[in-house]
Amino acid sequence: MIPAQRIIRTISEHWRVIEVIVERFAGLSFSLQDVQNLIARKEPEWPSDRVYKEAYKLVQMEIIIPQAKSSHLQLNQGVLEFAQYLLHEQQLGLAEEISLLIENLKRLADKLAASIRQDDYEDTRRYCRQMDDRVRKITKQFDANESAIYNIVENAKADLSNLSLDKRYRAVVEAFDEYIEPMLEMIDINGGVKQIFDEIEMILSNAIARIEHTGVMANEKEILIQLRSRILEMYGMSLGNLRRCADILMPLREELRKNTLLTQQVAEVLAQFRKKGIEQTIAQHVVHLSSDVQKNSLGSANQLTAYMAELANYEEAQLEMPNVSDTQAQLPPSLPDFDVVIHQAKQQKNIKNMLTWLSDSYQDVAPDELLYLYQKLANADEMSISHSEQKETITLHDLTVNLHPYQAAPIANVTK
Amino acid sequence: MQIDLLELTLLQDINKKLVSGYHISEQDVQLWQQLDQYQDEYAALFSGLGYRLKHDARGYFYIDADDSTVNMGKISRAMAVTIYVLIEYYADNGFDPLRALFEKVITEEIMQQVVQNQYHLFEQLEITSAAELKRDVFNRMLRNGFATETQSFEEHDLGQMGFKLLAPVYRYLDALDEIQPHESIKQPAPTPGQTELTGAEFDE
Repeated sequence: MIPAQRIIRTISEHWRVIEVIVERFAGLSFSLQDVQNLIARKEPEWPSDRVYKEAYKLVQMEIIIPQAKSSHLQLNQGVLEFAQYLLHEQQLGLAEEISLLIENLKRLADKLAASIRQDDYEDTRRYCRQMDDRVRKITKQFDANESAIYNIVENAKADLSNLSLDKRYRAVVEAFDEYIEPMLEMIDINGGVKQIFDEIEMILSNAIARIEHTGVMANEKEILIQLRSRILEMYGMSLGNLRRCADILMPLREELRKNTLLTQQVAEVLAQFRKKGIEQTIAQHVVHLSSDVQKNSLGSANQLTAYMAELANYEEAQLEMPNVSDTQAQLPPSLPDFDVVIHQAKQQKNIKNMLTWLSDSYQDVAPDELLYLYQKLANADEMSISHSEQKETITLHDLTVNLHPYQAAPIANVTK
Repeated sequence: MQIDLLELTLLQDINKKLVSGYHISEQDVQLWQQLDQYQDEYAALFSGLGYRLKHDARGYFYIDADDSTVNMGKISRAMAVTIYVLIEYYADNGFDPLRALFEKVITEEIMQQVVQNQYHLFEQLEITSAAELKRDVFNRMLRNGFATETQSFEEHDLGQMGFKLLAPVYRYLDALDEIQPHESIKQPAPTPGQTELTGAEFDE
């Protein structure tokens, strides 16, 4: 018994290889050498013994299993189905599979009706669960078949070989005759399936009504309602599903479709859009359009290059420097050194009004610089600073200040 | 190169259109004639601004950008999908797809059908109805010079307004060649010296 986690980890490590195996071999057999070649191509720098070990690991994990009585290998059916589901590479199932499931659903509904009549809630639950499971299976089948039909159609459309139309579309015609037609007959409004669905719906609706009346098995009511809506939804889905399938098969079957190199390319690209997503497929090759935003910014690389080219050709013009004699001597920055200021302030012992003192002592200094000094002095912890009681108006050059000026006293004074 | 700006009478208009992503094709008679006549001058002028003016022989001028903004990228993807889906649609209906692509007028009815047929693709683009396809893609095509709005001349929908695709759509057809089919692991020649392991060894 291999722990599930290890299997999943191995699958994830070698997903690209498994992807190719699914695409290339599908249900067919292949040799260990094929697997090694794939791994070697993916990891060209790995030594051959490592490649062998990794390939063998896939076998050990039973992701790849040997075929009976042969040294050839095949993908584990479980892994194959899972991978096909993820890669949208499903194979077309049989119409009979679905019809069997639907018949089974009907039988279960009859049993459910009986168990509800007997108020057997255990059986009711069991049948509900089973019916739910059938619904899931049917939905899954429809989805898988739709995907499979898309694959068939895309392959036929993208086929580059010069096969006769008859040959090219053989798979398409088969799909139509063996799946779509019987399915359409079955699902058709007057067909048997519609009747079965109606009956099942009736049974479920009656059961729900009964529960509402009697109150017995009230807990099961919710499950029944859910089941009913799922079955209704499934019917609608299956109709849409078949209609789409018929739509894409029809032009091929009627040989209406024109095939040219262009349509082959387009069919292939659209198939990739569907399987891998639009963004992933054309991320690299999207046609670039210039846009308004780029107009206002040096955004794209070639715009930067153009800008740089301008710079490369830049020639520096001789700048005429003015004569020394022509200009007035620049005044040196007049801001006095703060250390000097505070030293002088300390010598003053008590200053009644610091701002007037500053403006008197430094008459050359501009008012904003004076204010700067004033504020710096006020925060200096070398002196004791306090507000004056009176409001004063002080004029500094062209500036008038209205404030309670700071007073200063040496720290020593205060402590005494 | 001497460029006489006075000769480039439509420079302002041309610049505004091209830079915002518009494709000037023969339909825009005035602009196209001017560009055709002074192609070198315009190309030099645009390259000085960091734009590559491209002329396609199939009859259109455009600015080639190195990359798109996020929004433009999204729009361009939607246009690509729409154009490819249209080709599918025409082929499926028995028309020569390339001729139909440029000749047919895309009416609301056609939009409805392609959205219905390819719902899983348009779903990825968050387009779920003909109205949304018209708003998000065809109106955008108008603004970028990929289509013009015109009346349909076909019997069954005579006089209906629709869109007709223009030559710049070839850019998307050319892009088809670049979208590599099947990005599966490439198949180089097997490296010599690789250990050959046979099934017998594996059986051990």
